[in-house]
This record gives sequence, structure tokens and C-alpha cells, in this order.
Amino acid sequence: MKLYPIKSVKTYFQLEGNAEDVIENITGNLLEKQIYNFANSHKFLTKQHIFLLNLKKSFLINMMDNFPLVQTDYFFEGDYHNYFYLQKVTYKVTLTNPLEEKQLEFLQPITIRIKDKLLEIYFTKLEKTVLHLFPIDRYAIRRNQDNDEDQTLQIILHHFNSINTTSLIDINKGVKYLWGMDYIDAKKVQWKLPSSTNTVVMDEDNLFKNKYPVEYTALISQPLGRTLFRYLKADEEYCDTFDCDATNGQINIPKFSKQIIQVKNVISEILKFN
Amino acid sequence: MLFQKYLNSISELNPEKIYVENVRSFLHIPSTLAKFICEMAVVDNVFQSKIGIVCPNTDCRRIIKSYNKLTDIPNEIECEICEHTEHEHFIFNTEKLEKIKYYKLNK
Repeated sequence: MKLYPIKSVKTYFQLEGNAEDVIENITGNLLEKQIYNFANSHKFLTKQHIFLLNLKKSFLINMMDNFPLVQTDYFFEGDYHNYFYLQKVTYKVTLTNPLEEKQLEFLQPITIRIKDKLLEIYFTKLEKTVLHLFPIDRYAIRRNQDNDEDQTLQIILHHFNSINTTSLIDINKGVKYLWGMDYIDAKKVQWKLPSSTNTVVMDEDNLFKNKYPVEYTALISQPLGRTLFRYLKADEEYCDTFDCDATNGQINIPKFSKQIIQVKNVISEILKFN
Repeated sequence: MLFQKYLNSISELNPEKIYVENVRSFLHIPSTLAKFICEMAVVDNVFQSKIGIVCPNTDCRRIIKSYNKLTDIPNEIECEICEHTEHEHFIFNTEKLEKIKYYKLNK
């Protein structure tokens, strides 16, 4: 439940109080099904890693036969097939005072959206640290984990590659369109030059295009690497900020979204102009 | 005289952020003299002295935030860029961080 913004948890379950009490109340008293329903309906409010891929052949529903993850939900909406999974992830943790080994299990929300030859994979990001789950004097260290995001991604891609062929989508064009139209500007930008990879990290609250319009014009014809953008409009159509590796079709949503539609808007607008 | 020459051509630099090195390289003088000139400019109210807090993550190293004086600096600071680009460490004790001094031209 900690992967979701606490405000949305409280609103959905009509609970009040501090985050710890609310989560304890939910996990102790509610049915698994109710929690799954919340996890599914609010998945696009979470921090996410998104992978955008092309399928060589158009999607057919029987391509999901024998899919290696256990499906929690499916629905068809707006030309998209939406598949939802809660993948069990196991953390192996070492605790001190006294020395102890523990295993922690988490359920990681994963969404797969498919439309014709477009494959979108959304992972809700798990917390990297486990310190906050134990008393401060136990100093918990996560040693390794089973079914981490990379492993699960490989399992998913292996499935699709066995019946189809996938390739990551280069989203440079779509991202640069939004940048050129001043929907977004960069706080950190990385781009390729013939003999180097350049990275600029902006001081304080400065933004790249705003401060360096001449350099922007030069870099806009180059492939972008990992670049952190801020949404410039006052409305709440997009996420406030997102980090993307445009050349490799990967997007990181580092903050909770305020609206369920924001993440989908970012993806659909980038792909629309790509 | 030298400093006047520098100020006359300040449009070539960013008046919001002038480092001692900018003054040194422009006037072709030693760093110590450039620093002295900058401090004199602060005394004369031509420059305002600023302290930038530098992010310690090696692939960041940006100025997270700037302050007018040491006593304005909070005990803790967050690098938003490191947080959003998934660095494990992005909250820092400012006492241990590098502080970079620069000057701003008073308007």
C-alpha cells in the first residue's frame, strides 16, 4: 500500500489518520479482493518504470495464452487490451542487533497495454530501501531479491519474442516535439555527439532550453540519452516531471501522479507525435 | 581600472553568476587578486556574494540551492534531480557538503 499516494488510499477506503495506522487498518481488516481492486484502479498514480516496444506482427488475443505471469485483471478499452498483474517479489534482508536473515514479500503492480503493434509495459516502482520497515536500531540491509524488475521484464519479453518480435521504440521525435512546443523543458539532459556523450545538470531551478536556447538548437538534432523533464503548463494534464531515455523507449515517472490520466497522457502524447 | 574594464564588458558573462575564475581568466590576473577584486566589489555594493550548495553525487555536482550567507543554510537539503533520477542518496547534511562561492552583479 506504501507504493500508492496515501491521500488516494484514505479517500478510496474512507479512512483517516496517519499513514501507518491507515495501512495497518486496511491490511488487517479488508479482504484481499478489495485491496486488489484498489491496486488495479489506482495503478497509474504510482511511481513507474515504463517500457515502450513495437511488435513485428499485430497483436492477437491468443498471444497471451501461456503468459508467464498470473493475471489479476483484464479489460479492453479505447483499442487497448489492458492486462494487470501483481507479481510476487522477494527481498532477502539482513538485520543487525541481533544478526538475522529475513525474507520479505511484496506484490509489484505490473500493467501491460497492447494496441495492434504497440506494447506498453508499466512497472510500479518498489521502494529500494527496507530501512523504514524495521526499528531504526535493527539497521536492515537488502542483500538481493528474486523476481526483480529486470528479471520480470526479461520473462515478459521472452514470452513475446517467442511468438512475435519486439523492439524498443525510439521516442526522440515525440519527446522533442513536446520540448519544441514548450510543453516540457529539461532539468538534466544527456545527448550524443559524434565523439562524446554530453550531460548537463541544471543548477537550482533552471531549465535547459530556457537558459541555453542556442545550445538547445544544436542538441535537438542529436539522439537524447537519459533526460529529466519538467511539465511547464499550469494544468494537470501531464505528470509534473518524468525522466526518459528517448533512444531506448524507457520512461521513469519519479513522483506520484495527481490524476490517474497523467501517465497515460504523457505516453499517448509522446507516441502521437513520434 | 582593471575592474572597471571588467564591468564594462560584463555583458559577455552571466551577471547572475560570476565566479572568481571568470574574473581571473578575463583580466588575466592571479586567482588571489581576482578574489580580492570580487570581495572589494561586494564592499562597494557592486557585487552580491552568494553561496551555492553542491550536490555530492558524482554524476550530478550541480548547485542545489544558493544562499546569501552561511547562517541561511538549512541543516538538510534534498537534490530533486538525484531523487527523480533514482539515486539512492538524495538527502544530505549541508554541513558536509561542498559550498561554492560566486557573485551576482547588483542592479
